[in-house]
Amino acid sequence: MADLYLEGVTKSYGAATVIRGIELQIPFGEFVVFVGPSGCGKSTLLRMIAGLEPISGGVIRIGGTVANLLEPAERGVAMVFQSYALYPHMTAYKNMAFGLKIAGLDKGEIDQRVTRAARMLQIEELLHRIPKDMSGGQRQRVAIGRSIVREPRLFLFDEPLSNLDAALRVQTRIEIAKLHKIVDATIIYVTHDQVEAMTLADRIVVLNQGRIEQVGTPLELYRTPANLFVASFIGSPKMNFFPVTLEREGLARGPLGTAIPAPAGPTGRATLGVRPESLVLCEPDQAFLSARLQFEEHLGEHRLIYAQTGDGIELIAKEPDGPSLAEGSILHFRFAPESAHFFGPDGNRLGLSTKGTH
Amino acid sequence: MTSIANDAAAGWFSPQNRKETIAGLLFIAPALIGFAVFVAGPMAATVVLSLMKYDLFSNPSFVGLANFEAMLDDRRLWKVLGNTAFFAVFAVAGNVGLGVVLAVLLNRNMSKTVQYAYRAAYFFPSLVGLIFVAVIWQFLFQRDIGVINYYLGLVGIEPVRWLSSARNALWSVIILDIWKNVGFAMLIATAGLQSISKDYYDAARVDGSSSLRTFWQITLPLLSPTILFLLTMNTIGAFKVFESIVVLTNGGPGDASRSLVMYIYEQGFKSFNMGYASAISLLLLTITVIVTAIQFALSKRWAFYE
Repeated sequence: MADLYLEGVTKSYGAATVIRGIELQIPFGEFVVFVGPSGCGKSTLLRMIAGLEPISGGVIRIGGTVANLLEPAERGVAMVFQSYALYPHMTAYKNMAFGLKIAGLDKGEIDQRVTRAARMLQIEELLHRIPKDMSGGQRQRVAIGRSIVREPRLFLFDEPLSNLDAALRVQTRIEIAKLHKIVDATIIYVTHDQVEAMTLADRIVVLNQGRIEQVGTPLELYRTPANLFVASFIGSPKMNFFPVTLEREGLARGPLGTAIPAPAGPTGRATLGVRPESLVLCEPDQAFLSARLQFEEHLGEHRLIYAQTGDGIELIAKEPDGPSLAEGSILHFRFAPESAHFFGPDGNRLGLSTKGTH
Repeated sequence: MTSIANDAAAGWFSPQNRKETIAGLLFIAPALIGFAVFVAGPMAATVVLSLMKYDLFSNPSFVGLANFEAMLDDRRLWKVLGNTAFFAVFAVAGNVGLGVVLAVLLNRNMSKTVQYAYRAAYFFPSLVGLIFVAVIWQFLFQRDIGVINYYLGLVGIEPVRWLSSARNALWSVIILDIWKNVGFAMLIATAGLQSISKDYYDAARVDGSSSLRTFWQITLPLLSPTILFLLTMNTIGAFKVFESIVVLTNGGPGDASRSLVMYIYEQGFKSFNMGYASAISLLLLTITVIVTAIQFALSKRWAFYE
């Protein structure tokens, strides 16, 4: 049974609608990541779940109760802010104890909870420091500690890693994943970074312009993106797209005239998507397409080849690394037919392989 | 020579630095001359004069510390000093306290039109000349024909002798001062409030803090540097109160509302005791410095700098 229900949830500021009819069910204990480009409404949606932003329509149900009009503190949620929002005049201890004191817990209980969380996050030696005397990573831990001590049923993380440097981001990401295994709660995590989404999530919710584009496990989204938006947003480097013609049932013809198997369905123009790692260098006679090399990035284990087709379409291929190719040379690519994604003129995936969970 | 800074290894007037040093001095010369003529000069003159007997007509004569000794026995001085301290305490408390409260009340979610209209209304008196304001208030405060007593009469309150009663006169000055200056305190406090990140308030809501608790435990501590600034500036200003009293009560009845600066003026330019007036000026300076120093020292316990 789901613990958090969003039913037709909308948000408008005057005439501008930023969240358009979100339908989502999240079972207790799941780690869900909201991901999308900036301005897609993911943070707004999170704040609406938290109760910091009133909703314009629909129903939010948390743990069986309609939460639409409940204050944040009444919803049993804890939030970690992008800026951490630690009270700058309070020590780490007081920051963590503030909400507990308001909730009316006795001193002993507060002390026990704060100490336990501090031990778990290894911030015991920071408890009597104020935020300005801590590093970004330490503040981040205290902010997480403040959310843990409240023992919420729902954790909300609003881009919590975006203020950390790259190394710390990876480390903290791993710790958040560990945290999820320890705490008995649902986590909703907002990020624009698809690597964070892929690595942390049980399920990812891809948002775009206030709508859910797709909900699914990271691999589902990666392997069977429901539409062009998800296909281009998930995966790095991005999926390559080529216009193709669906000639008849189950056959598509590419730029060089090579026919490849395509899902049954309407004929006509369509978009073929191939991930960079699926493009393989080959001999001209086997090629699906050819492109002129623009430049290469050698990453040791593999290299990224940037090339441009005769029609001016840029593509990226990921190949095992090797000696540099001659500048400006014509490269020929093929790919396994099963690694192809087809999208119709409306941008939606063609074929049956969209076995998402929504 | 391309560097702007002096070559630290050599002296300011060493051959390679001399040109730049002279150029630098020329640049700051106008400000320096102004400071010397209008600030440093008069201050030095005050110190010198405080050791003199000088009536503006005959030559000043050196009297040592006689002017300072005279202060000890000057009952009027202690009276006006008390008045000034009384005024400072209540005018500063009123201006800063009310200014912060107004700023908080007008910094909430509300119609922008209403918000700006109120802010403008409270700030407007700060833009008007003090003498003009005092003249208006003198009419408002009139016992028999004043508007204030008229309205008090409507609700059955006996006419108040705002300006002619020794008990009320200083309070009337304080009321005027708050009316005149609270808008400025509100403006500064508003700027302080708006520099507090909204995230703290979101965090406080998630923590379940009531708005009153949030005000005391989040807003006030984070506003404390602004409040300290307001306290300091208002205190320094309050010790110099002068024009409003001259217009409203001229220090009366008796010395009931006379301020220290009025007394300095009276000693200097009416009784021509320039030496004594200078000595009292130094006393005022000393008091201001001490009070400000105490405020800063105490602020270490309550003002929080991020």
